[in-house]
Amino acid sequence: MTVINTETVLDVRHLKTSFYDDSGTEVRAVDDLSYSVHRGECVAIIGESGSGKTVEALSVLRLIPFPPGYVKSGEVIYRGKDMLQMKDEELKSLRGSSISMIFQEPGTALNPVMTIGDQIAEPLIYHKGMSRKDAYSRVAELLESVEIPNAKERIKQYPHQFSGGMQQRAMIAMAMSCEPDILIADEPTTALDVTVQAQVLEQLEALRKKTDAALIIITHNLGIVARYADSVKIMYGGRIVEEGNPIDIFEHPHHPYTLGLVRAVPRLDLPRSHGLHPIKGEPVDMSKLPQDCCPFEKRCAYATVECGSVRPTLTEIASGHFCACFHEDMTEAERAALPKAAPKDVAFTRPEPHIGELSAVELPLGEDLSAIMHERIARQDPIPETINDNILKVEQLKMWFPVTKGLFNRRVGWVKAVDDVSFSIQKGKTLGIVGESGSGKSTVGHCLIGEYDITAGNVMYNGQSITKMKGGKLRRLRKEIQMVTQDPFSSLDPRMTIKDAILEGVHVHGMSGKDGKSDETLVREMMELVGLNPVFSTRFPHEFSGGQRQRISIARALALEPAFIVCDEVVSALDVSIQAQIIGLLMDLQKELGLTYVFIGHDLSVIRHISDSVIVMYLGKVMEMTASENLYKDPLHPYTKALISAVPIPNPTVDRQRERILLTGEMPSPINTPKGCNFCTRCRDATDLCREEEPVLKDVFNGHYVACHYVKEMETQWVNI
Amino acid sequence: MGKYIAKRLLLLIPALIAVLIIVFALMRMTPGSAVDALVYKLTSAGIPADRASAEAMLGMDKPAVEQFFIWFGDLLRGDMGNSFFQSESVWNIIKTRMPVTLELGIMTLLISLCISIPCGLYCAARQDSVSDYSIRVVGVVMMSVPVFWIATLVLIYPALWWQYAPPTHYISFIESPAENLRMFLPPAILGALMQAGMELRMVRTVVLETMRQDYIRTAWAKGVGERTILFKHSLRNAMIPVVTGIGGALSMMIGGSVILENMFNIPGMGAQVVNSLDNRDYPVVQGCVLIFALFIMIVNLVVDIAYKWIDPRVELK
Amino acid sequence: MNFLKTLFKKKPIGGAGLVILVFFVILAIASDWIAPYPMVNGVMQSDVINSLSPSTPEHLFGTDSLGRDVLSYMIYGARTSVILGITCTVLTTIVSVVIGVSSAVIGGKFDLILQRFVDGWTCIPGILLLLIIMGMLGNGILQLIFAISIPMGIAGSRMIRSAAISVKDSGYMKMSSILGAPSWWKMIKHVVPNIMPLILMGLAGSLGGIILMEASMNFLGYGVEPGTPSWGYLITDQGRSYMYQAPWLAVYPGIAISLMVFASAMFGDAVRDILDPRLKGGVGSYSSEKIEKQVARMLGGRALIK
Repeated sequence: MTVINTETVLDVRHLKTSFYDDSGTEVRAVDDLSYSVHRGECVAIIGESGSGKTVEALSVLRLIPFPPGYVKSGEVIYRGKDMLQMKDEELKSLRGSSISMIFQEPGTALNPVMTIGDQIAEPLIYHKGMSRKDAYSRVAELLESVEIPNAKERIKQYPHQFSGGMQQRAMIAMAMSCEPDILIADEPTTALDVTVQAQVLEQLEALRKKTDAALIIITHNLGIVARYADSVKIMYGGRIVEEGNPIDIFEHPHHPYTLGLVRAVPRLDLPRSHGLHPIKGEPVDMSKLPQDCCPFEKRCAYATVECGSVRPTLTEIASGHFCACFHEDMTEAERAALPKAAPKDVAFTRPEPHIGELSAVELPLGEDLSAIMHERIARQDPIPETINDNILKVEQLKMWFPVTKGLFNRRVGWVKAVDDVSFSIQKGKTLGIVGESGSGKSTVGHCLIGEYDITAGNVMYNGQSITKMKGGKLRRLRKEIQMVTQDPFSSLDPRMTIKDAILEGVHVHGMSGKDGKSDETLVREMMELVGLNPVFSTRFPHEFSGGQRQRISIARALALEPAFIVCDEVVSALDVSIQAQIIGLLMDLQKELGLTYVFIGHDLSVIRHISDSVIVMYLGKVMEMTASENLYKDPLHPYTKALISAVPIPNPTVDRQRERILLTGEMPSPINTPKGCNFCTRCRDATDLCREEEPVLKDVFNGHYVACHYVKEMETQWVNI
Repeated sequence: MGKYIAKRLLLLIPALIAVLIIVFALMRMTPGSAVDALVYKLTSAGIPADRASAEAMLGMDKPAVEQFFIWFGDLLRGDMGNSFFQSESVWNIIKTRMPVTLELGIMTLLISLCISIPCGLYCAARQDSVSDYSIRVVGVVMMSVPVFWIATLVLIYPALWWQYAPPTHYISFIESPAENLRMFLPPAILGALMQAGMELRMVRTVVLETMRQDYIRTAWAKGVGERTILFKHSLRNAMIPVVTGIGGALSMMIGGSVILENMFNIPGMGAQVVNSLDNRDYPVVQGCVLIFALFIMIVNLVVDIAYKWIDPRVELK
Repeated sequence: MNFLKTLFKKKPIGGAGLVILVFFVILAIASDWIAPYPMVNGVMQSDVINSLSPSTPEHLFGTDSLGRDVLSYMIYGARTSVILGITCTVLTTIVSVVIGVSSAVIGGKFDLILQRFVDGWTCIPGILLLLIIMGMLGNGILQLIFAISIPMGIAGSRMIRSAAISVKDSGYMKMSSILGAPSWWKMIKHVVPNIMPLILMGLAGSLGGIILMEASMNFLGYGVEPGTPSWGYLITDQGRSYMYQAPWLAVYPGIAISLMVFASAMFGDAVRDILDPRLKGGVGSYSSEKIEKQVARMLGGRALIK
């Protein structure tokens, strides 16, 4: 923890922001919020969607447009002056120079028709009175400081020519250009891949440290908070429910909501058996929230009559630790059950023996080495031997999409979305596929349900090949293999009732009335199965929340009684507390119905939690494949290691002790995959061999597959003993 | 850029072929009338003719596909046939009338843009104010009033009240700019008013649409002033749909010019086409329609190029 | 019913537009009873002695050169306009939807070729197409309906197509295929219901343009048969011919056309605003001075900072 300067730079007092709908109904998005920020401090505001955290950040700079939103009352004191009372001119001179902001989606927050240089130069010209020329040379320096290659040429480019990570870095450069006192970052890395996220956050942190700027970071990601924050505020229902330093919040949470959040996040460093504890119910509907009650009352296990009629205030329960709850003392038992720190056997603490030299094909088996291996035998969870009841077998799957150019759609290359992937899944098990965007993980999912004409290879379902299936045969296969997709908002037809949506597959296949069940019974059963009240079956999707829609999607898939479900990023769009609910639901359903899952995602901790075995993909290739327990305990591929290290662990003690492996650069375009190992451009251990020759995916130990030149030798030899 | 233009040009080919087929098919669907018209023309000139000989003269005794290719071949050589009634080639008729129509069109377009863009921007900046509402209602009125009616009134009342009438004889701009403008301004303004009503609503909508984008919020967060945001950050983005809209408005404008040229005795292609249609002078109609279509295609091409220039994201798809 | 409530409550001008349109429809239906000099055997009565008379108690809007009562003529003209307006709007929309949806859903080569044809078609100015088709078919109300609906329908199909394509690319369409649904199912169950608001907006929005187009065609003499009363024809046939002796002949029908088009436009706008949630509520302002003004107006001084 950094030493905090006691000088207060921003003081927010009793801030209230409301939104008004067409009929004038008020929604209190931010309801009486107070906090202060010290020089150089990193303040994290955590909340789920709808908690008012973004509105709060925008209110500080008065960036709430009216209609519909309005900063009703309160004070935002910066250097002794209340920003809410300032005239436009005065406020303008502060925005971007003394207080600047980074937005969530760099893709839409940058003006598409202005060059990056023009956009970054703007604050310099307006606030510092720089000439265009000076501003431009400063912009080049700024871009270099956020590690954008060829900054001088990049200045003249437009946002769409930048990748998401580079856009966000340009945004950071823009926000830092006038060396502000305060930087407000609203979900700065949510849209980015985890390795890029780690890079961007490190750069932000470094720049901030250099200028001693305070950072207000708004996020839903507990891991980021644990890693960087000096002070944490938990928001719920437009109010702060708990605040304190990260150790207080993560290891001694007092508010039932905070406790719930901490227990709902899957953690990489804990064994899988350490279950998730979802918070029951749905996030509070702000438009229906009465003023005089605890916003968490409806979901709280400790709620009493008092909670529903009196509004709890923030009270200090320990030095610097505040909590707004009448019953915070009651959470003690649960608090005690929290893991205080991770088990010590994490992969990063032991020496790394398997980065060997290629020349040493015959490694001498010395004393230490075998000791390491014995340790490994003890550590590795062997994959069960039963290979016979594979429900799905994928052999050398290749899915290449042609890249065409010119008038006559001449093919100039291939996007190798999936390139030579093989695996099999046993009945009743879950296979996780994890990778960053562009890794080809979703394409694999779509190949499994026969949606694409695959380029080469074979997908066998229950012993029959589905690769060449067409028309009616393929449609009948869809009864067996179903899919649930990421976006709960687009995957349901807005003009179809829930009942019709659930029954769609049944009607398409003419299965209605099968087993003597009426449509009504089926819908009721399905809705009960996924934990929804069947009374709502005649409603339309817009009346449901994201998590409920995802349940509906699952019910729709289950109505066909499939044996196999591909879950493509099913929980990515959901809040932490809801995510835990859906994961729990899926795991329960698997147990009850004997389902087999392929679970595709980018969140390593979620994937590891739900899967029996995990495939790590990078640029269309499998990098590593193993039992999921091994993945964290014993990652072998350098990419897997970097990936694991990039995922922040929502526990400050554990996270701040970990070794960080920061990957440089970004994933190359899948059109020009590098020669040799696909990962060689970003691998810190890459050698000439890696750049020349492609490593083969090899079983290095008991079903632990790795595609790396420098893992192979020793392991193979060892297996031979 | 050059490559982009070349590609766009090549992409015009299928549309051009479609236009040729449509124009040809439309004209061939009225064979009776064309033949009758020719028979009438020949007999009134004292040449004995019947339907069969007229059909042979028009080349209509051949199969349709062959006729199409003969016509197409002639077109490639720049031969659009001859008028039935004017002893001139179609191309010569069009050649003299095209500049007139172009002048009227360009004037109309410029006037309408001069009205609509400032008004649209003003409305967007003063959203929901009284002046915004008033301008918008006036805009709808301008769209709703039929141009032929307003033109009729313009021809009637000034004449009744002040004995004023627009000139009836065409004088080219080079000969006498003042006289020429005196003839062209009234119809151009009338055409532009209707156009402007539509455009200002569009400008307002798209400017407002861009004003709600995230990058506008970013600009505010940078401390940029409102005026700069409107003109620098919003307007260029708003121009993207506006430019596309201008391409579409052109076809409407030509519709307006067909009527206005007729009413104000302007010897342009629009007046010619109605005249020839009244006389069943099909070769001229066919030629004019083809030239109009070509003209629209060229403007669409220019719009596409402008689009690329305004919006750096545009890639050829 | 719900829609009407919203219309009159939220969009009073659009509601007024609807009232005016309904007024014209009533005129059209009941013209035989309302007109002071109703048609006899489908022919307007003529009062030859009083031809070209200005407004008098007997002839409120005066008479034309044949001595026909202008008011009655215009009431019958409303019938022509309403019939043409409604049938053409509906047919245009049907043509657009059939072409647009089939092109989007079938896709592939069919879409490619059809769209090149549509491209070419839209390059030919609409009014010329109409003139040529009418020249071909001859005057008459049915001919005019055909000549307006087909070209305008083809031109309008592009918008329907792009909307249908965006539905086609949506998550729920993908899920539908994953469930194993055939294309006809997807077309009926997903595409059409989801582009319905757009279809309705198109219906309401194109009415004004169609009335204007119909009036222009009548004005140019390529419209209904000369005996059928029509506003456009009245302007060209009577108004222009007798413009110095009887200017009112041109004035009244023009006002009627303008009023009807204006009403349709306002109604169309209101329908669009109600059905398109994207445009709801206008765009908020960030400038504090404007916010103060807006807040004062909308919230009535409630909850102000200062």
